[in-house]
Amino acid sequence: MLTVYIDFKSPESYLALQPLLALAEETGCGLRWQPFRSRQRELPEHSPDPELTTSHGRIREAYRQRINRRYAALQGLSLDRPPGNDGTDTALTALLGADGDATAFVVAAFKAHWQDHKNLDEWDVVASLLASAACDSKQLSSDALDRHQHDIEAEGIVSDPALVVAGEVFIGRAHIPLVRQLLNQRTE
Amino acid sequence: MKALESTAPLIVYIDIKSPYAFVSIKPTLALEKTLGCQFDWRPLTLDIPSYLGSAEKRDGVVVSSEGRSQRTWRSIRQSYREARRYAERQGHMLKGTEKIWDSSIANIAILWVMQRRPERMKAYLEAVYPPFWQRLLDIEDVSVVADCLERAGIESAGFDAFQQGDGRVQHDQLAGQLHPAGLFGVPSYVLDGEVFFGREHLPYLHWCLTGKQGQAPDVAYDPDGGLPC
Repeated sequence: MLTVYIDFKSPESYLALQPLLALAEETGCGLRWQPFRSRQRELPEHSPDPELTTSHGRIREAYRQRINRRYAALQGLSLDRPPGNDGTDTALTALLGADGDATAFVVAAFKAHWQDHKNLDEWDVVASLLASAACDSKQLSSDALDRHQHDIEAEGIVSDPALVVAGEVFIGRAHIPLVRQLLNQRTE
Repeated sequence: MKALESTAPLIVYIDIKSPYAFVSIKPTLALEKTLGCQFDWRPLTLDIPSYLGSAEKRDGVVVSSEGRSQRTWRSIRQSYREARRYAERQGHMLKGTEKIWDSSIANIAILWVMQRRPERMKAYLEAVYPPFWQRLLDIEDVSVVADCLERAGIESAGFDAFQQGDGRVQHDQLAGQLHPAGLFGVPSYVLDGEVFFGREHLPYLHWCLTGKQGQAPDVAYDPDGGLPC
């Protein structure tokens, strides 16, 4: 079993979706999807050179957007989306409460956000996705998502997508080759 | 020297004090060897406090920390865990540093090697990186860096003057160009003027440098630090 922490609004999580589905099919491992509320990278509160700090953050973010677009194009995906449509807490809470295999819901939610530009913070939208994916979800409160986020950050889930195999955390889809080896070792 | 320009097929920016640059060395050297060419290795001395805050440890315990939130500390620890995992698989030891080192002397030595014996770059990197990450080298001591050069088969006479003079000027001039050029971390690779940050791009760079045959690869870390596939 491979546990994967994702956020539907995160381009890094979106770009990991197809490679993770391929990994699951290849290795026969199950995927346990868990929510992670992604946030902007934090800058130090006190810097010896605030101008350099700001510049670093700006350049890093511009790079992140550019490089994600490059790899998205290789997958035939677009990362364009309407501005402001980045609330995903309702969908993440639904994922937290999902029973059983939530893969169909995850695939549908990513498509709804990135291709259909639907608002994943609206319950009607999320309920429709759950229904179409035949996925049952306990109706949890947003407090449950807050507590979950607090707990997983303490366990080292600091960004997304986070892949957890045998208790070991790896951040980013670039780790898939090593995760594949670890999964294969466990089934040998 | 212009930050994004070179006659070499690939520019590689590294910093001796970066664990991520450390674990990138083996696969980058493997790519260079496979392609049979000389990469343009350059220093990028990170100003870590400006983007991660600062900290000092003694005997593994944090004795001072400034500007680092709990979240930043967790991110740093996770990044170290991952880097250590790959370093071990490459046959290296990676011990967390006790302080944020001034790596400029060891990084200026990269310029020294490139300008005198570029074919010995692998030997220099192997002389300095693994022992530094075992906490066996004081890279702020010019005689220690000069010794690494000698062990790599590179003449070190004149290095002290270089690192205080011309080498320091070149290093600082390059540093001033980095942000405007879009360079902010290590390892960074520059291919045809485009910046790629992180060794996860080596498969893509390999694909580009070998004629873009077949499907373009996604980002990936080679589990054992081998040739990016």
